[in-house]
Amino acid sequence: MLERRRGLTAEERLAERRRDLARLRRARLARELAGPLWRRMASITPVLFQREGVVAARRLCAEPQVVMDALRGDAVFALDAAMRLAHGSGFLSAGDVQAYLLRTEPLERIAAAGLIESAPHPDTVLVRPWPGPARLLVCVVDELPSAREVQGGYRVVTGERLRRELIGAVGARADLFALLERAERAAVTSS
Amino acid sequence: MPRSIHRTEPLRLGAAGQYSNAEVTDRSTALRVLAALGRTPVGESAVLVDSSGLFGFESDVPALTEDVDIAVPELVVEQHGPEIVESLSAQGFDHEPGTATFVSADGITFDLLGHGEPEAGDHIGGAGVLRVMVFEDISRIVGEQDATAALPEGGRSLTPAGFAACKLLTERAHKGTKDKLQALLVLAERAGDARFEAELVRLLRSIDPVRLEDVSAGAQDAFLALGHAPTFSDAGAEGYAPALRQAEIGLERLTAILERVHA
Repeated sequence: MLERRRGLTAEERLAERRRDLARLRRARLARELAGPLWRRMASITPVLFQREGVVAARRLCAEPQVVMDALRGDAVFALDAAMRLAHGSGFLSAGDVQAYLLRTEPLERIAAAGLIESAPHPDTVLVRPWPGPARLLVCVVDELPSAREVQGGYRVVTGERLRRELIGAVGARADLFALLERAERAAVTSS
Repeated sequence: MPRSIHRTEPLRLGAAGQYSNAEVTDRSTALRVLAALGRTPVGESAVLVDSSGLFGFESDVPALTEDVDIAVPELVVEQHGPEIVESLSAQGFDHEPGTATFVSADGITFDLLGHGEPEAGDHIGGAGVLRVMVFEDISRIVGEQDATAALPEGGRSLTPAGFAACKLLTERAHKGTKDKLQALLVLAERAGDARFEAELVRLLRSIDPVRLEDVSAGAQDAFLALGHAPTFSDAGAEGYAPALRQAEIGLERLTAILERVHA
């Protein structure tokens, strides 16, 4: 039989409340440091790449760029891959390629070409806090998300969606969000 | 269209009473507690708050709470604390000394909270045998902004907007993201209900801007926490995908509501 939790005294409740408020104050400091970026980040409804469809992971056997080339006709690239293709550099360090596909056949095709492993890779965690091999992370969806074509003929998610995917992947990280906004602004200025 | 944008499926999480978990309380228990308090000096001023607020209006969002939380005017506790304890004891609810918790022999547990002047901030109210925690945010929503409605069976409960406002303002790290998610699910459930949204805008306009930023950040964090929960998938957790979609809708509605609050 489960033992019932003892009720808290008023003092214990107040102490708990103070701990929670202290945590809030720390969060507010981080917001203050983020400045006006924070409000923009907070108004975004995140897109969770790994919840958009069925996720599959394969270990890369070739350079990420080669894999992206091979998927150019089939995929809409997402997240870090989209950032690298659209702006020349990414914001995540793992070197993974993230892409949306309508079906898994392209995976079999590039596996047969030796660009990725044939067997699924067990680690599908989107942003790993541990080391591991570079992966192709594919989300198989019913319909591809809205995309734009960038130099080289790749389709990548729109800037607005990329912002939502970034927050969905790493939360309200002002440093990475600023990187993305700066790159998007520069692209608009140069076009 | 990506799956997450399909929004036509109704949320079917089920009422708390449908769950087999015997530790989870239900509406009839909450009403029984209100009835007992009605026979004390608290009278009809007792308000179902926290997750128990979900017992006060129509909702498919489960309360998933072990006990019933009731807010009562701080002044009543101050003036009638011993009588309240005595009267509840006579009705079979034993007071746990040193706390504001009452327990019946058949396992019903409820906690009293106080509400008073929001300007007094968070503090301990009452005196002697019965002392209660008085939360500034609950005081503002329940007391000053009158976001409660009388229940036909007696006592009061938070309105849906009052419930959402209270839960969005609740900060309890030890309870994880439950409070914010319940608020988001109620927001999603009532998406398009202009009266509900107007009422929530009214309530949130009385809140300090920095607390509204806490609300915004907390809601987004809760959605992300649900989305990243590694143990959830649709295999064996059939409620997860619809709940995640509803939380997303709730977050979108909240963002729109906060824009109106700031306008």
